[in-house]
Amino acid sequence: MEVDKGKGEAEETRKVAEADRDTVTLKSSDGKLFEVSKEAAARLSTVLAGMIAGGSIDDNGTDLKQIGSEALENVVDYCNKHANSIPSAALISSSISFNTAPFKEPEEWERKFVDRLSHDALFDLVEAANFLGMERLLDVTCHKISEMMKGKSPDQIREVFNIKNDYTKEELEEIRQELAWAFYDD
Amino acid sequence: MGNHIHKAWRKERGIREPPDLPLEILLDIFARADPATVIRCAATSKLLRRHITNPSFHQHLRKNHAVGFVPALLVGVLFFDAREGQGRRQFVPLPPSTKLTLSLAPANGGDGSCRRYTFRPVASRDGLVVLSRYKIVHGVTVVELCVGNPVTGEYAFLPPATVSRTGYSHVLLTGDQLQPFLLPAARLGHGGSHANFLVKNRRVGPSTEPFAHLNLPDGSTIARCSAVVLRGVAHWLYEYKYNDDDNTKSSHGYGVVAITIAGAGTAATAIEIPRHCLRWRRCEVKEELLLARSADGRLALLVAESLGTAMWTLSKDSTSWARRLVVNRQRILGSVKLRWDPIACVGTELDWFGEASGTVAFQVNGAGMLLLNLKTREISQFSQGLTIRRRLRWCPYEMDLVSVLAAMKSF
Repeated sequence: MEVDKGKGEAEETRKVAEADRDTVTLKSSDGKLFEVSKEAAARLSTVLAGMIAGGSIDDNGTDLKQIGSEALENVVDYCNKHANSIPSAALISSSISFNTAPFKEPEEWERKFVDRLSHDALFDLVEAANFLGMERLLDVTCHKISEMMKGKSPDQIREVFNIKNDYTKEELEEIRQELAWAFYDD
Repeated sequence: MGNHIHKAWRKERGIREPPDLPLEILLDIFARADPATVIRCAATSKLLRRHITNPSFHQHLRKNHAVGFVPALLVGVLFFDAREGQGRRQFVPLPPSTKLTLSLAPANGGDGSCRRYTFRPVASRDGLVVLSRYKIVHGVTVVELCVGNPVTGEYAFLPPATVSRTGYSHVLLTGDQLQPFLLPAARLGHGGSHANFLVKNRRVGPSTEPFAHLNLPDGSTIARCSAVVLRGVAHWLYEYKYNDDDNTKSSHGYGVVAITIAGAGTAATAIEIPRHCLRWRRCEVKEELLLARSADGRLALLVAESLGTAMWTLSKDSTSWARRLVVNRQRILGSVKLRWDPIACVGTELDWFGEASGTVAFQVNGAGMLLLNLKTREISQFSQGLTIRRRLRWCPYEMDLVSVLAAMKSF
């Protein structure tokens, strides 16, 4: 690590210690602190990677004002789990060489991870993933929500996402007639 | 939209402003949904409909659909059952609860006869299908083809063409140049008939002989009718007979003939399939082999082995094949209803590969017609059956969601 010359020794020590720490501290909108592996945070979140590289990580807790403590806890939990998980390719045993092209489907543990979340927690998490630029987590959460939409009527979808209906009755009827097969069990 | 900024604050006060998620995330979610769900989402509000019917969302979808497989695009299965001489053609939506009905027959049979039911699906790509039928007119075999969109019910007939035999392979190329391309299931090697023809702009093109320079072994023939198209190159599996080293037994060798169709020429190349790729098959029949593509867009060969189904993927430089077990036999038999004891359920034949969704349609003795998705590895039982039926023609139908969305009315 490169240290600026002319600074006090204590300052140097502090900086070195900070750089050597392998975790970063994140602070939720409601002031709770969470520690997460620096390597995992940098690998999984483009925003955190940028902050770590740019030195804007605060040792006393980097403020993430847009993310509530429950969502941040899930983000941190996800990062830690990701750091510990074994890549799926290694699980497929084969004595002969195999193609290791990644399957972008959520892994088993990722499925379980989002399955246990409540509706609100899942929505907060998808926003947090979006805010932090966590492509993989965004993928997993969007995938889960799209699965939840399956077989739902437009009314039910409106309810889930809190969407305001601005169609007239006649317009809705026209829409249903246009592609009737898509509205099979209404 | 930025509604997330004060979300916690709003939540505390019980204020719920629509919608709960920013628009960009909503569209990200819709981009992953199955066709029926996306269409329903467009029926929730005018704003969402505007975005779902917008070309920028379609671009996003196309980008998503271009890489890997999109299992949701498989909306059903077309099949044609030729038992007892009675052509029975059906479309079965998946899941069966959807009421998607597709127009699987041209509005009239081309000649206004009820013979339209004799058209059978022979190729499908990007939401379009090619139907074909053979008939004998004054002692001459004639092939009739029509290309259509089962969702809209629009079909176009190609002029009938005289052919020397039945059982041609068809490949549908889509995009700017919509053209079914025919390759006779005839001999490809020396002394064989090389005739093939292109049908372009509804006209029968000139016959070309692109295979002479390939020096394929004598008696090489197209082994499987289905072709895989990768970046404008169509690939067929071909087979030939050879005698083993001690000349006591004859075996079948296989290779891939690749024809570049995009652009002006029809350049052809051949890729030999090493014999070690073909080991561990039970019956050593060509129906145990099927060309496919890998999730990263490379040519692949699916092999139904005694203990499971493997996929050999061709390296980028087309010189070597790498093997990966896709699914083992135990898992196949464990996930479906069997008519016999599992020990007796031997023999697997691969029928069709859906390039967009990554679906393999195959049959197993004692289990029936099964579908395997290469991405999710899910196995579903399309229908139960006792034995493999070779005369059955079934093909997964994959919807071209973008063209359906683009044609939707705006409000």
